[in-house]
Amino acid sequence: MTRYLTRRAATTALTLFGIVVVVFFVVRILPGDAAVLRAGPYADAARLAEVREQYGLNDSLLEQFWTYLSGVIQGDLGTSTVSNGSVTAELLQRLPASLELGLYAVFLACLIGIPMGIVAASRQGGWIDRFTRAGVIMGSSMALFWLGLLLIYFFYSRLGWFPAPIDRLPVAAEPPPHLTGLFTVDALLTGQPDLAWTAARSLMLPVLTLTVVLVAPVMKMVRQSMIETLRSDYVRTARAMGIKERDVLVRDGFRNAMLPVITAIGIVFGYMLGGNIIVETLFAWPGIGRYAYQSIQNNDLEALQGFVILVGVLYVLLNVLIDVLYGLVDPRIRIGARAKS
Amino acid sequence: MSLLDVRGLSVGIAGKEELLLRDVTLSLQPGEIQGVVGESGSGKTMASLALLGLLPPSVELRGGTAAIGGRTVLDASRRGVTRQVGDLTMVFQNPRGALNPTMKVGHQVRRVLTKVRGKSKGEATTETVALLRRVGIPGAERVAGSYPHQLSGGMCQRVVIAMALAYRPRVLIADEPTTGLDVTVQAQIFDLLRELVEETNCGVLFITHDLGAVAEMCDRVSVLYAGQLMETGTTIETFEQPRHPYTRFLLESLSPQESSRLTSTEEAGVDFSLPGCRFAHRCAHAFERCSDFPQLFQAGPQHLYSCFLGEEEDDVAAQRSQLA
Amino acid sequence: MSSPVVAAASVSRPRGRNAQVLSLLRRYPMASIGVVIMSVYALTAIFGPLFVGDPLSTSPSDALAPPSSEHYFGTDRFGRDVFTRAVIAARLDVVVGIVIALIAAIAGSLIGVVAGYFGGAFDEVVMRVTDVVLAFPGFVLALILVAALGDSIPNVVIAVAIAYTPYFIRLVRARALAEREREYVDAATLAGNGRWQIAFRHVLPNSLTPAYTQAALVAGWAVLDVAGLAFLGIGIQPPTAEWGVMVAEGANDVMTGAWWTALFPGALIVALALAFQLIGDDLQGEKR
Repeated sequence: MTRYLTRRAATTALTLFGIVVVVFFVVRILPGDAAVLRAGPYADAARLAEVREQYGLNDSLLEQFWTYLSGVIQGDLGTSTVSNGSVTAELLQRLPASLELGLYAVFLACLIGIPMGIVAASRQGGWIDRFTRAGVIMGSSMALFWLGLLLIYFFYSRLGWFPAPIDRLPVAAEPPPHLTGLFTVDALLTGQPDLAWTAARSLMLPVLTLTVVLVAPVMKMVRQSMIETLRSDYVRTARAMGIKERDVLVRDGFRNAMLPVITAIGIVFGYMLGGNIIVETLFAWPGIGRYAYQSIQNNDLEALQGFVILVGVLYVLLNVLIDVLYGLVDPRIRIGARAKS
Repeated sequence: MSLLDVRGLSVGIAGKEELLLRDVTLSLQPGEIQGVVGESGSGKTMASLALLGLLPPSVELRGGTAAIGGRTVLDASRRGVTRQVGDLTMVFQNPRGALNPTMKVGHQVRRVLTKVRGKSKGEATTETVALLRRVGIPGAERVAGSYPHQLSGGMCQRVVIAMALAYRPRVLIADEPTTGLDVTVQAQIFDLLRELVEETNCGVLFITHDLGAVAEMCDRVSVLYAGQLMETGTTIETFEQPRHPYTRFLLESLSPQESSRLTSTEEAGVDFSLPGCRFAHRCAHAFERCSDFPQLFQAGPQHLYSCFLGEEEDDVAAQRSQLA
Repeated sequence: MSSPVVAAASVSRPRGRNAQVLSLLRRYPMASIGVVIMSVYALTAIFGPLFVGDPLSTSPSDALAPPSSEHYFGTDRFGRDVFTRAVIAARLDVVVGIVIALIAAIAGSLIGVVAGYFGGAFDEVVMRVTDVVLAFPGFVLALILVAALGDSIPNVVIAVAIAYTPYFIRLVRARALAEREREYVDAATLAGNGRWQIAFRHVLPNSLTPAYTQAALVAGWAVLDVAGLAFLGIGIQPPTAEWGVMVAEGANDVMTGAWWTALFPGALIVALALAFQLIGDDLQGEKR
């Protein structure tokens, strides 16, 4: 277990380092004068020199990289070329909005996808199975931006069931005090159920859009994992010993099928981090995805670079967390083998 | 009356005409260990799964009945499989895989007692340790708290046998229970099975392709080939006076060491859709009648075989005796 | 119980070409639907441009006209015919999806087979690099690559292909590792074949099967990614006739009621991705 953890920590550190390397150099593939970008096209030579000095642009690329890397290690993702603000601060300020949207979507995708996958696997070929497989294929071929647009058209423009797809709260509403940063939770914690409901109504359409796409991989992976588990020898043994089918499904099937599903949820988080750029843009949701969109529009590569590194780091750390969870759930990793043959 | 009585058991792949098991008949007495031998793909395991009602979804029951102690447990034409607690259970090959990797082995035995046999938790805990001790596990209390991956293959098989004991079956099917285990462990597991039969008077169907093990362990033997019962009889009769060409082929061409390398039925290219005897295409004595399906012929009070050749020989013998 | 007569008859059934097609349809029902949809797209991509006019011709007086017999899919805010633009875009979207899948599959398979068959330091480096690339959600990686490389169709193709290459590397590497142990490799070695020859002539072809089906799925995702990037205004730019661009251009008009500007091009993207998914999913099912 210790050796496993050491190795895991080493590869994680290497991957995190790789992320910074890749992003830093990818952003600098094209030769261009970073000083012009920062100072604007009309800056004179003196102003350009000043900017070069201020941002260390006179150093070699490798030196700039080390400066940037040591900044990243201390949590500094650089300075936005547009706002001149700290990228870390700007991202952190927007992160709760993204988390609120993403967590609800992932939670809902699991809430629907896991039971569907299990039932589909335990009655293979039945109508729930067919429905699930159809849902998987539809979900994996769905274009997020199109689906979101249709939902907005139908439920907002035509039916008027939901508030305008702009921001986390309608203009008139006052955000709750900052506790967790999740408006629905904060509103409830401060005893404002009405505000929580208002926030929830703004959340519904974007969450629904993201969920439709996220539920597909969850269903697919749960179903596959469950089918494999139900074919295993130990499930056959349990049945041969007369254990009731419901117990077999839960204790032999589900419990063991959950191990790969935990990994699957990590992958779904990755999808979510990619997908939220489109959903946040579409719903004018003030999270990190929309920040990325705006930095593309403003040609603010520093900010975009910060976003991508943050996403990469979040994703890697999440996978580490999943590995630890895995170890807690699976006795083969937790205890380790000491068998002879 | 037999303990287990299987008649005309047939199973096939769903949506296809071909039969994987055709008209298989078996009977087993209390306290008897009966060997079921055949190449891989001969339908030994499929027959067992059919009796347990555990056929894979792609395989369906096509015909036959089975009764344990006179009560029907399988009826293809009516209710399918209606196994009751204590009728029969099965010990599989690959003992490591047969145990749930995320459940302590003690719990796996105990839940057979609580969930299947309806015992109270306290009773079941005591009995679990007793059962683990009974199957020869040293330090049973400690082992009960282990996970399968912490135990050797032989230990895992003992745990599976303890689960089977907890089920208290009248018929136990042991499907190659020692494949992949050391020779010394094999011998121990065989001894254990024999002791259990003596103690509980249950019947055992011992599935194997090791003819040596059959000679050592079994009172009777049934030979399967490509889903067809070729011959059945006491071990001595069958091995000393085999009546079916396939049984002879098995006995002559293979020493026990080689028997695990029997070609599988698929490699031998059996056409499961042909109506006749399934060994005909490999049989040196095949003749025109072999394109029909041979029924069982009687060679002795308990000795049956499925081959027209025997009937011809009997006829020839009868003619000779008339001539003389 | 089955009757032997029926069994014998079903085997001796004549197997003509029609029967073969029928049995393929029965074995891969979903893939068959996928192939039919794909054929419609292929025909549109090849011959469509012959039948429609200029995708860029505007007519402000006709702006935002709903679907009619004159404009099947209506017109956008510049009065451009949505149907014309959608037909013209077929060539671009279909080709881009397939080319991305091909590049990722070929590059990934070559790297994967070398890593898997030769192992050693090269394998270690390749695996660490794929770890890093897979540490980004594919869409985010493609996004920053295009943002850095600049907007152009080849850049989008390369960026999305890079994001999907690691999947093929892992897939083919795993197969090559297994294939390496097989008897035919020993036989080929004994017959005096060099290591590279064995890797590419023998191991690679035998390791490719999972890559084929993966390529179909990736083509579908690639179509969605390219359109998604275009929707965000990266990669393919207006006024190019591309379905993602069209949805983006129509987005604001949808809110005010002109649903046709985004509905039709978006539906075409989804149906194309669906066709790839149907094919890939059905073929993948065969493995199990």
